[in-house]
Amino acid sequence: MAASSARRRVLFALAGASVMPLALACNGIIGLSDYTRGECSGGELCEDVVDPDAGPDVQQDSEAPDVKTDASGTLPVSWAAWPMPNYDAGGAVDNPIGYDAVANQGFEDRVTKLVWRHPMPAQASSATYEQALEICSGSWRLPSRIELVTLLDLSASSGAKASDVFKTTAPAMPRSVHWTFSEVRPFDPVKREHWVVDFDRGGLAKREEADTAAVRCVRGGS
Amino acid sequence: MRARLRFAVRGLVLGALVALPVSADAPRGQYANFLRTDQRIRDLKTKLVWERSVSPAPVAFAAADAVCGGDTRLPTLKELLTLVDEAPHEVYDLDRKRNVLKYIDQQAFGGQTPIDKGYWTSSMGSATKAWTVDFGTGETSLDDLTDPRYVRCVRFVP
Repeated sequence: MAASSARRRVLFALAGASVMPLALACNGIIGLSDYTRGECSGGELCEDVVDPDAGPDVQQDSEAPDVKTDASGTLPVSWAAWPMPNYDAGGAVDNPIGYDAVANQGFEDRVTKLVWRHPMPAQASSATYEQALEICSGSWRLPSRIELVTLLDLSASSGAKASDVFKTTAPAMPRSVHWTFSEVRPFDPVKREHWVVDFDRGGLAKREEADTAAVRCVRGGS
Repeated sequence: MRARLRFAVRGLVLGALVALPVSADAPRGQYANFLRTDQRIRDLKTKLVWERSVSPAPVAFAAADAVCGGDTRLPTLKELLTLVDEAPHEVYDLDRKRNVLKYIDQQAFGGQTPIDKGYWTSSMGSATKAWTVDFGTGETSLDDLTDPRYVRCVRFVP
């Protein structure tokens, strides 16, 4: 009797130890742990986007215990969905940068398969964020931060930090900062800053919506 | 019966501790499933395998390569920028004694990513400067090669 009870006890413990990871693994597989993040995790609109046209929900901010802790913007966050195209001088030569011309559209990135509009219309050299959205309408859209970063080419120590095709195919890409739709978070509803990619110095910067920057449109991707 | 129950609960807790899967801030399908104890995390989209731990202390650029042993290397600026989470998470910083924002996936890298200094990339800006990424702001900067910065090594595995 005592032996069988002890055996049963061990069985119980074994069952407990094995069922828990199984349950957790199942949870991971069917994605229950992602439930609260809803569509956010798929790269679609987040649950906190009630209406894309509405401004940031200021009321929600004031309800929060500390406004500074609110890191949410109104637009979805974009993650790299492809390997990063690299340039030669950076030490790493994995996924070398390269483009193929697409008639009447621009250039397709061989690594990311994103198609970049070229040439851009004249007004794209200096536009507000609102104007940038208009310029990149129809089948085009404004790129996200990580998408526009793929165009950086830091291999040249001087001159524009963009790939040759955009520099040499007329009209040359402006040597200046370019808009992305990605919001600087925590999003300040007064300043309304977006990330911009600097094709003069290289790297990233922040810019308020009412200021002007150059525009480059993209299509493709998710 | 109670002892048996207690034993089973202990088993449950043990099972949970051993095999707790962690969810990430990155979208589903970005990082391969990982355990809290894993030393590397594979980004399924960029095909980059990142070391979770970083150099124990910030180092000058010249010493950064030596930090990455074996088949790992310094990331390029564009590669390191794929680790930036544009929606930061807030954590309490023991040194600064206040909450800080970290622009990196909390479960995957948050605990192992000090943000008092930036992180080296292999992308040179000039003969004396290289690009760094600041995970406390999500920004990039061009720093002197003699400045101390952290190092997170990477490997491209197609």
